[in-house]
Amino acid sequence: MKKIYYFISCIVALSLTVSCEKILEFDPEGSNLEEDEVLSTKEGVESLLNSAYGSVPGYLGGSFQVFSDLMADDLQQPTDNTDFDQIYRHNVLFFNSTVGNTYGAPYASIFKVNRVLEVVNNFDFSLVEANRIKGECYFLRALGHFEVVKIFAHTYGYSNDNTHPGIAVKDVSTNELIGRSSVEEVYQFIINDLTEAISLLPVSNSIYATQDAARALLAKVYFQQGNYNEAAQAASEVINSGRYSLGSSVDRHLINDVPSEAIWWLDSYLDIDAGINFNASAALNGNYRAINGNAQLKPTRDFYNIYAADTSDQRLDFFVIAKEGEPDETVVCTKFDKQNFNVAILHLTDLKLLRAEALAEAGLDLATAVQDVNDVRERAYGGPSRNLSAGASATAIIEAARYERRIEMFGEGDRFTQLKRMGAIEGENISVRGDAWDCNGMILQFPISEKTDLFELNPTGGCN
Amino acid sequence: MKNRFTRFVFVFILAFSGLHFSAVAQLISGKVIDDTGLPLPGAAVTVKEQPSIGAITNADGYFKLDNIQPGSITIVISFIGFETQSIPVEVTASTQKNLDIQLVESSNSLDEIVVVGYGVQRRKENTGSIVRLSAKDVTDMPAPSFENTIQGKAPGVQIITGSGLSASPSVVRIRGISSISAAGDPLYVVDNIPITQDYFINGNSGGMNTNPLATINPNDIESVEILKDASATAIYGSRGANGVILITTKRGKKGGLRFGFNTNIGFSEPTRVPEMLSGPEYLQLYEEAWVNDGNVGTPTFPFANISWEEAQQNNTDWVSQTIGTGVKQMYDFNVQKGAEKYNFYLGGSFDRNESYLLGNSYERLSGRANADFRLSPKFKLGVSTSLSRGDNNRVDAAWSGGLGAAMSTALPIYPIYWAEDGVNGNGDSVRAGDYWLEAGIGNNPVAFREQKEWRVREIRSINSLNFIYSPTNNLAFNFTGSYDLMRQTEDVFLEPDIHQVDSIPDNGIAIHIPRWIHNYNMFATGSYDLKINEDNKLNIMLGAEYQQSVNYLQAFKTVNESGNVGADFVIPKVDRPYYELDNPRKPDTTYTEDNRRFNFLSFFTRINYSLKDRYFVQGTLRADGSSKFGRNKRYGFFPAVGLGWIITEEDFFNTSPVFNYLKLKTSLGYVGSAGLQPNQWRSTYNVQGIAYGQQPSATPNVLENPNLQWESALNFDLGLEFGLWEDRITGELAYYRKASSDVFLEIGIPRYNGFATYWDNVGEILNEGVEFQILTRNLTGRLQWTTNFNIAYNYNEITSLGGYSADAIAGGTNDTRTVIGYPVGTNFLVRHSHVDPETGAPVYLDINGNETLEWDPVNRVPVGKVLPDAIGGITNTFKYNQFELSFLFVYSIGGNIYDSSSKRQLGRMDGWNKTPHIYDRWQQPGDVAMYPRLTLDFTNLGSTTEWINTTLWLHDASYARLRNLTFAYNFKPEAARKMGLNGLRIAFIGTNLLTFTNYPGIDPEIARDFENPTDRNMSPNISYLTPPQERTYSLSLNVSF
Repeated sequence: MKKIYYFISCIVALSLTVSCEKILEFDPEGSNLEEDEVLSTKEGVESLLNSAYGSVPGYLGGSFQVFSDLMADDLQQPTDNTDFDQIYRHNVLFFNSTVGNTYGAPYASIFKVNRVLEVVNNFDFSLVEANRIKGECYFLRALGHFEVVKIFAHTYGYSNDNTHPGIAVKDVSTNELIGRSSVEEVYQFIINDLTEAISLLPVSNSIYATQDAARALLAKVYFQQGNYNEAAQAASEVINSGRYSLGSSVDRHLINDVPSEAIWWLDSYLDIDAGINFNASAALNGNYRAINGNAQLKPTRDFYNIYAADTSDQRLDFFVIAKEGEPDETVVCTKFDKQNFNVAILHLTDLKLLRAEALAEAGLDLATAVQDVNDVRERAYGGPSRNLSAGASATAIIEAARYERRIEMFGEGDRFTQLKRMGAIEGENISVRGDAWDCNGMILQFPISEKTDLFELNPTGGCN
Repeated sequence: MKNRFTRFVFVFILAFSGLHFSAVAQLISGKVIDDTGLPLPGAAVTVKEQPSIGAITNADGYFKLDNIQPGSITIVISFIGFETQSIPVEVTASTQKNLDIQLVESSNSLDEIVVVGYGVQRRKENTGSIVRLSAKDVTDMPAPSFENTIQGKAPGVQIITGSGLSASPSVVRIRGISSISAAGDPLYVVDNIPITQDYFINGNSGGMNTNPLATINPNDIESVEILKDASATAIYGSRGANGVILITTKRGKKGGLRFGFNTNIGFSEPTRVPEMLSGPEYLQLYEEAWVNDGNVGTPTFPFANISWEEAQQNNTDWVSQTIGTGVKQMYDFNVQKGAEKYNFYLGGSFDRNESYLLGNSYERLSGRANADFRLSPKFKLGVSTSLSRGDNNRVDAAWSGGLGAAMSTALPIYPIYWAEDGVNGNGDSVRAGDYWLEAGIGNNPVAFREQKEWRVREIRSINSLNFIYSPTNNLAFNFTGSYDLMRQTEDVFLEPDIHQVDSIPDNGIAIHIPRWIHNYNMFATGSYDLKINEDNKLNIMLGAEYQQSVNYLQAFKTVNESGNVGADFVIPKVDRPYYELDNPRKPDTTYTEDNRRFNFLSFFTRINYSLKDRYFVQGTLRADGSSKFGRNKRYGFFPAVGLGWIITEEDFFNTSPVFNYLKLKTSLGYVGSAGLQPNQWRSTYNVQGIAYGQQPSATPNVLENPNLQWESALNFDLGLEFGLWEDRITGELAYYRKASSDVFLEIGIPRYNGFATYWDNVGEILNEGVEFQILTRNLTGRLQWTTNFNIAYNYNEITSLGGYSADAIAGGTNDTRTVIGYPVGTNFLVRHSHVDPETGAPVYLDINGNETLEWDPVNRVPVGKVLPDAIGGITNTFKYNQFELSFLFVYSIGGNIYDSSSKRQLGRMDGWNKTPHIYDRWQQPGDVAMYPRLTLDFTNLGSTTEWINTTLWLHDASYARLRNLTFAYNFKPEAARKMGLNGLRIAFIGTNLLTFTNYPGIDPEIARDFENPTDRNMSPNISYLTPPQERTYSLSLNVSF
């Protein structure tokens, strides 16, 4: 008899527990789905990967470029944006919300690709598909880390063995507290990811990452390290593929189109009728567009004067004197004065100038280097009038490559990175507005959210 | 026992009686009424010296005692819930007396019934820490919502009254604060229903949060019980840790048909009118800054389209343009009856509460019907229903405009209207008398108010049906189902002049936002009384409960003429508010459930054991499951045990000449808190069909935490209740220690994790304190004087943050932080040292205390706290014949106020008006000044950012305030009766008449608008253009017939 009671009470208790658990389950509402549901199909995995690309405009749609350019010497002091002003003064506080919010974007992208890498093997993707997905993940992860380490940590070569603090390296999606890896570790991580990406990615991949994109990025990473041999080699593989050409226009930011020199870009798309608007270029357009001569960001007169004399330079069309003759006469940049353009991130101009300088620095194939510079010059000046002579010295090649690079890539955040490399790798005496390239304020401050017992922020107080 | 209770009541011995009794010797008769004049049926009337004589009052309150032996006797009248009264009478052989006896509701009676969760208990048997407040306590001053009236009356209960805006919510904290990111408010339970209590249903729009308690009519409240310790709150399991406030509404008391009418009419004004600079004063200081900065020529203003010459012609006092005198009126009417088979209470009220802010009022229309039916000796049916409508006619305040603008960006150099016809800055022609809008509409508070119609209407209905089945005397089952509806509709109408959005000049825009919260609850309890013998009694209660809450939001998908989708809630091109439109357009109306559904499934039990009526043990256990908790942590268990010992019942204590009552009680238990929004634990993805590259995308919104669970608090309580000299002095002393762990933190996690925030249980907080309450009857003669004093000291410390930094808590714009070793809401600021007498530059201290001219947030240190050390109140009541005078002082000792807006009101010269304190600024070398040299450029203040927080704006928050002064006249019963009434009382009530404080700002009691629960927990006492509280003068009339 006792056993029967026991049995009945068990049944009651059991059914109660089971039904009770169900009672407490609610499905999420609206366009929100639980992860279990989203990551139950291959399409879901692809959607998550696509969202990782969607995070890239959050930092490379202009924001990180602007931060770099503000710290370098091509821009005037911003007038009505305190957050930008702090960057310009090389004294960013950890409460700077413009910097703080943007800093999260690459890591949002990295979180998503880490999540994809963690689950991709659970699905029956074909080997080709799986390799592509993984390759894209490694590419985006490397890209995010590289962009962050360039502006939040002192550059490669700042310390002898590069043990100086870098950034947080994330290769898992777990929520965790971690410290800063050294710059050496960060670069090794990026190089490993890119090497992996190159081995996995296809040659063509719509608007998404390709093998060439990974090689181009790897060339830039090596270049920043002063590893000129490897840089030139990686660049050559892309340049020599013949898949890209400089074309005749110096404008590489096109609406609904990409130039023949683009290796990888951020896609913008606007369909008014359908109410769809993905604008990857908002931060460039918004900050540079001049109305009545007023723009948030304006080139310095010094920058303009370097190039102004040579009126055959087509790139000068991007720079206009506004309010001429008035006391507040100024140069403005019209390069980004258009809506919803595709933002070229990796392109042939960059690789050619990079290879030219790398070859010259390494004292290798100077003829190729001269040709690279001249290719860019012939497009800019509409002919060979400004070409380097065939026997130009390494020094002349370097000078020419830098000269072209500065105007070609104005607004692309490149100048700051180059200045750092010149200071750290080439030992040049580099300073911007009196602040040496290696002073405390020449890197951005992390947002206060990063501060934990494990993670030390950059020193405060700017370059004083 | 009976004699232990006091006798300070009004006694009316009538020489003549309207009633005729036959001429029998030694007859004493009379009528017993309560303090509102209603007859009290069932009161016991005995003769102390002659135990065989006694009577019970009938349904109309009458009693009769005969055959009394002559001599000096004492008639004792007692009734549960009222103070027992003794009346000495000389009885002779021919005595015939008729007595009118008015009993006063008891404040500390052992036989008093206190409401506990899912039942009632005698106070004597209760082992928990419970404060009971009566109907009178919550209606003794004009206030739209009852919690405002509690301040200073309940030890350990901190009430920070909301700002001067009508019906603005107060912050209520019981025994300190133990929550950070999730709601730290107590659980509100109305007639056994945990009600919807969302303060953020419409965010902090306009500078005010929603007050979910405002639709509850205080006149409907019979009692408010505040449960403080684990023994009392554990029955509410995962929701009890911040204390529980039980609201019991009125039911028909025994007796015939009776009517009551209460009204209150008065005026409102600010406790202090903000002082700002006049136009010429502002210009003078602006020019001083202009010159200091090395500028030459006529100053210009970067922030408005106005020239120096134009500015010189204006001098607008914007403050006086936004405040006036508010009128308050309240009318409440009720009917009740209590018969054998049924009882009912019907109440209706209208309350129109204008604040001193022009255009601002809260209007409540409410009705209640409560009834019980005894269907048979074993079945009882109870119905409670209420319906109220609260219309809040809103004005912008604080950072949002109105008085806030008058105290900041609406400069005195701006005119209200154009003085003459002309052309404005946009080249449009204007006429004399048009609003001057050159600095933006928000900086013309008059235009802003007059062109914007803003009504927030809340329909609230709380209903329950309960069914009690008692098969035997000692067994009862209770089945209750309830439905609580909160329907809030927010309507904003902007006249065409105000909004520049719509290109068609003839039309305005209407914004219409309806929101619903449906809250369903069912519970069943069974309770069994087991009387083992005279000495051993046991009561067991078992129960189960299910609750579900669902939010809805309705959005209109409006499409304009170009086919573009408009903002969800905006209806363009209309000439009146949405609710006044004849044919409201609802193109493509969509209803969206806003994903805030949650439920609770609970099982609970309470066991009470009493031994010899002097030792009491109570054990409680609740198991709570909720969809709010992560999938690995669905159920929590919350046990508590309480012990009570009435020492004075012991034989060895019988002879004490001093102590007539001593009770020691203690409790220990785990209680939880679950005040977080639903769905914070699970990883949800936002799925879009077309996104980057025109491909689908799935974007994670939330980082999953399957282990997210309730906060838990280990609560210890030790209390001593005492009564001295026959209860001339009564009171209670309590010590508590509440160690909270797994505190919810919405952590600002390092961004490298891919998300900005994450909900986790990581914090630990300690609250420890002492409470003391004492009631003394100083004079008990013809002039009666009673003093009721309480003080509560609380120590609060964050003991762990799980490795995160002081800045890791995502808390909105508040300027407080969480720092280990410091209390919740610590002011974490760069220290301002002084103004350099040589240069006028501000000197700061770096983290090591060395002087520096550079402001850097890395130098922030914990320097203050928003929590007070001690709070309390003292009420003195004097009664002389029919006159009554009482005054309640509330006070708060210690703690800080951070006057956040003064960094601009007293900072650099910019587009904000200044307060006259600015005159204490540095002008020339040698000046020892409070404020630095005036400048227009923030870099002159050593800063790279415009607005900086320093200790210069941190002040002592201590204050004492005359919260309530009441002067009343209670008509004698026979005088009332001559007017055909049972009772009549007229009173003058003044609130916030006096304030004593060193705080240099406007009002030292600050509950600003909050962005979210974190802000609400951490930033009371942070002022940001917060409207001061109101001072009111009113007349009240209470009639019963």
